[in-house]
Amino acid sequence: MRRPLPLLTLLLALSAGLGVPGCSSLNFVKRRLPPPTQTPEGVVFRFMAPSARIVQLAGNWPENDWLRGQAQTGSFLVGEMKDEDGDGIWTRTQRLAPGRYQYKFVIDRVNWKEDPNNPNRTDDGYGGFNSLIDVR
Amino acid sequence: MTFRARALATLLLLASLSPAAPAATKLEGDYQLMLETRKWDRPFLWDFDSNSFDVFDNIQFRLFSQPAPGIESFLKFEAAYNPTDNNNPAPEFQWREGHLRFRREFGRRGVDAYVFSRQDRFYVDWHLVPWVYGRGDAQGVRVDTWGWNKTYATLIASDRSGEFNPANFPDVPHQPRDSIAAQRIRRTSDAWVLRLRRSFLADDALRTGVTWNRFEGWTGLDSTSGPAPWSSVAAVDLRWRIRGADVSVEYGQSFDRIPRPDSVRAPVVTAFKHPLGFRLDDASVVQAEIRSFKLGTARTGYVNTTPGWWSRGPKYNNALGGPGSDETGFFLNTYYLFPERAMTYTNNLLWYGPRAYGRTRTRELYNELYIEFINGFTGKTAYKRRDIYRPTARGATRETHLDWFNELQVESRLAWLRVQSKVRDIGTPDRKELFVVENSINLSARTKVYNRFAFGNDPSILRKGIFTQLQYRPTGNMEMFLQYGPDYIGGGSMPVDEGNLNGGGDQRDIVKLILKGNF
Repeated sequence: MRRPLPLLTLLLALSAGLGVPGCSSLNFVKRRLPPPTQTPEGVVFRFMAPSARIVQLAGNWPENDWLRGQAQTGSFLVGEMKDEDGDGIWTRTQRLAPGRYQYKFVIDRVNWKEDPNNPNRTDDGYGGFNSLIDVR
Repeated sequence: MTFRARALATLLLLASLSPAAPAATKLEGDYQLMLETRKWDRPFLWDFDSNSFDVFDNIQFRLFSQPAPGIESFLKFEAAYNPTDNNNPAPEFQWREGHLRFRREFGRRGVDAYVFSRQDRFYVDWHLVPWVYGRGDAQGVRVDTWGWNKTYATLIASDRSGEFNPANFPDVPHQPRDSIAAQRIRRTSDAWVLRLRRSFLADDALRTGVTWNRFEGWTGLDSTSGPAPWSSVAAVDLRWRIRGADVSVEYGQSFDRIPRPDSVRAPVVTAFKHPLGFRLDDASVVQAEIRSFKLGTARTGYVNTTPGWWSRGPKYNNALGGPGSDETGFFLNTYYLFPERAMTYTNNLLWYGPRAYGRTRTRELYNELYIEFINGFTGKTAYKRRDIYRPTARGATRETHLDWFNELQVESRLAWLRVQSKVRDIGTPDRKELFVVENSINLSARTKVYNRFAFGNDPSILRKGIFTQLQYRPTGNMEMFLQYGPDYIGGGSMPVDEGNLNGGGDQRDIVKLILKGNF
């Protein structure tokens, strides 16, 4: 328990000395994208990947089933996200019933990544994390 | 005609009876060709025609029809060619999956029913404990209703006829005493699931649920197998939203007739090593969580803390879900969001171990700092300490594992680069250094090259995995991959944690061509 103390001290110093107010001293750090947000149309997922050609939302809800859920949609690209304005931020609005879900983003059908803007996550069993969302 | 064949014929008949409406019926499919040759691990160098599963091509058809609102049929069938597989037929034409669906909505109420074959339709919502999760292909019926008395209900009845393969029962010399026809019916497992969920109070602040499942295996149903294993689980879950935090408690108990030693008992429940004076049932699971305590303001940033605790009895057994038995533990997950900026500090504390069949305890402490810089750079550093306490005659020994992880990533419209490093078991003779460098470059709107260089520096050897892949997407529905090297070393969402890189995986000369298309 002694080892994280230097790191905690550093963090406290960062937040106390630089973080307030307005983090004007941290201009080299990007502003945060919002985590998934619930809207009347569904849950809006966002992911920044400017070099990607295809980005998919993979999750454990039945229509997706970690990109295996073709039976519901008939779609070859399950969970396809869009970047219509070309700003590198891919979005998808997904209708989800109330419950807790795990998800990841899949870039170019090869790289699987957790949501960096959602700190709620759980162990994925492969050394990494799955992002978590509770839909009400 | 077997039950499975009858089910298939019924589905096909009902699907064919659907009046074909061009706007509501579509035939789609996808095609995949994979050719692979490798220098080693074959009878001779660059043997192309060897017994492997890496040379095949298949085509899948999906017939999707909605003849009327709320009525849907879906069929998937497949033709595959495995020229190098000695254990299975080279050409295969098979029925993959299918369902009939009936959905009716009455304002805020509705019914959704499936008759399915060779599909995994076992999903039911869960939060803390997976009372039921995917069990693979089965055939059966699933009915979901919602809106009546604010209640969601799910009922699943299924049979896994795919478990029986007549080829496993040759006529001579080992034919079982029962006829194969009888076994085809009997030697399959059945599963039933019932899930009810209801909300109470304003804004659905109180949510409750009940889950029941029952699994029946095939043994005991013919003269050649042992006693019938069956198991059942009944569970209740409760979530109460108080001032923005979800307080969740879930309790479940399993029932079966599997003999176990009476000496194995669930221990007295403790809180921070302090005995509370009561025991839970030996076949029960209880888990609780508060997600989450939130402190701070937009000015100072927010600290979120999620505590959780669980206890699993030594006789708990859930054949249709999880979790495992005989474990008690707690976690405390904390993260701090710096104000306005994309900086997150994460601290996870985890403590768990068995209580009845063993006394080994494990404690994990994980710290992570993640920062997104301007101009496309992101960085992550994480430090993990894992202590395993093994009981001895004179107390306990402590085995410590220290890991340090770093990641730097930069991305633009043109390219992406990620460098990951991990030092495992710092300060021990088993120390291992793992590095993975990945990059991708958009050569054009249709062509992309992806490279991965993975290195595992063991105490005795430096291993490597060099993988390069050319991705070509001429149209929106066609992809081609031409690649060299082992795609499995350093793959996945956390390359430095990939099993082959952490184990003994080393470079192999493999050339693979993958062609995918959909129509």
